[in-house]
Amino acid sequence: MLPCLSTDGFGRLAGLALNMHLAISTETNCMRNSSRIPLRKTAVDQALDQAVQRVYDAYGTDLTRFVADVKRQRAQEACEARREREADAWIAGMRSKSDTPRP
Amino acid sequence: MFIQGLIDQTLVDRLTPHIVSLQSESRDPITVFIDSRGGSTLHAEAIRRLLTAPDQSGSATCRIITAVTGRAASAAADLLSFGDYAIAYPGSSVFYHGVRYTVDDPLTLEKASEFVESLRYRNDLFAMSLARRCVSRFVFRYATTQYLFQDFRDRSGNQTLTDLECFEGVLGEKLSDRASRALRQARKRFNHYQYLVERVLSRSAKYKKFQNPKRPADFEEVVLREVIGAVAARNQESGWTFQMDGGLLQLNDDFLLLLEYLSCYDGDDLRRACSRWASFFLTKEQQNELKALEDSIAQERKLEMLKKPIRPLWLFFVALCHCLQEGEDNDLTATDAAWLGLIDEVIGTADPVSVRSFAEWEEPDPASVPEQSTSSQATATS
Repeated sequence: MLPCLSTDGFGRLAGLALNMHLAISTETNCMRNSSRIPLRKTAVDQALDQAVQRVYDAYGTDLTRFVADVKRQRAQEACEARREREADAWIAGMRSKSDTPRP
Repeated sequence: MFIQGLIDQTLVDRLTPHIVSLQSESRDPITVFIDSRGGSTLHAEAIRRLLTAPDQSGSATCRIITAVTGRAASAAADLLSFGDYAIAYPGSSVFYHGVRYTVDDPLTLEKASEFVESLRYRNDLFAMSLARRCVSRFVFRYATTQYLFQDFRDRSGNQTLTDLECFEGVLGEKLSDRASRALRQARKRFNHYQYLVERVLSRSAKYKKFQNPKRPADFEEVVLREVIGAVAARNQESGWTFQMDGGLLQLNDDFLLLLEYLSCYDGDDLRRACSRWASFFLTKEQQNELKALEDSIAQERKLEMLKKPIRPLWLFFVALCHCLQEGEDNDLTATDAAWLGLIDEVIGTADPVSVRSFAEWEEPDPASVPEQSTSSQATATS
């Protein structure tokens, strides 16, 4: 009896067909079975992998809290940047007045 | 550097000294600002090749940050997505479409057939290149929204929805009408993969020529025979014919679609998609099982575990990229592009979350973290 497709629709049968296709295909290099060759990762890739792991360790797969934290942090940063800009503008205003040459 | 206006030889001539000079100064990242309606794919490819050129010392290629400031259309959209980190300015737009040829000479039947073949081939090529380049972004989108899936099931009143269907549902709520249409087309294509796999391959498997082909054409012969049956079964009208009602076209499409599915089923692209977000796809039990195994065996076992949830995602994304490459109405907003995993971040928005937020994340100072009620208030107003 033929194997059945699993619930996600990508079961052993497709694997069988793929193996057939792989065995006979000489043109498509992209389908080489190279699962034993490790993927090459750059330093940036590795740093990102570590960052992802850190977030996972802190929050798990439920990112509700992470998303809330990021939004809060972004809002906070925007608020601080605005305050700084306003303070700079205010100080600049004071200075321009005091720097105005006396008649 | 700036890519503005038409992408053509003049632009390549203007940018080449600039790119070469930046690369010889250092191997630091290069930021490419884009505001272009596209142009020649050949020249866009020339720019891409220059940007990723190695040097004679074998240093790593420069990381490319792409940023659309106004509009990135056609070849410019491909350049945008090609960036190692792709950013969109708020209000900018991204437009993908199929390859186009402008013909000056009178068109003959032979020439038209050549064009059809060539257009199909180039569309496939660009779709696959887009899929390979962006799949990590799409998987990231999935990993960072999966906590919303159960809520989506509850709201839909349908607990039988698969995770992928929930993901589509969550995306659908965030996207513009045009982007939602592209998503629906991708679902249609994806369902067709499944239909063909189920019907054609299961019937083909009983033939000797399928099991033990002596040459590629043996395998294709059996599959084609079953594709003919599938097309005839889909068109039940009494007067329907292959000759007059587009049956041959459907046959061609189905056959190529099946090969597209087979060529994407496994390989390095899928492995790459599996690697970074592994933790978000493995259950605690699976992680414990892996810890007990020897390292090399654990790596292989882990890959097998990850392929199960990520493979449908990868194949769905391939279908989406083909739809984006084939349609003529895929004008996406910056936010659409971010939700669909075509870019990483929209400047000034925290939703959807970006990979950058992972990279920059630091353990929050307990003193600065508000109580639960204040936290939800901050979320609602940010």
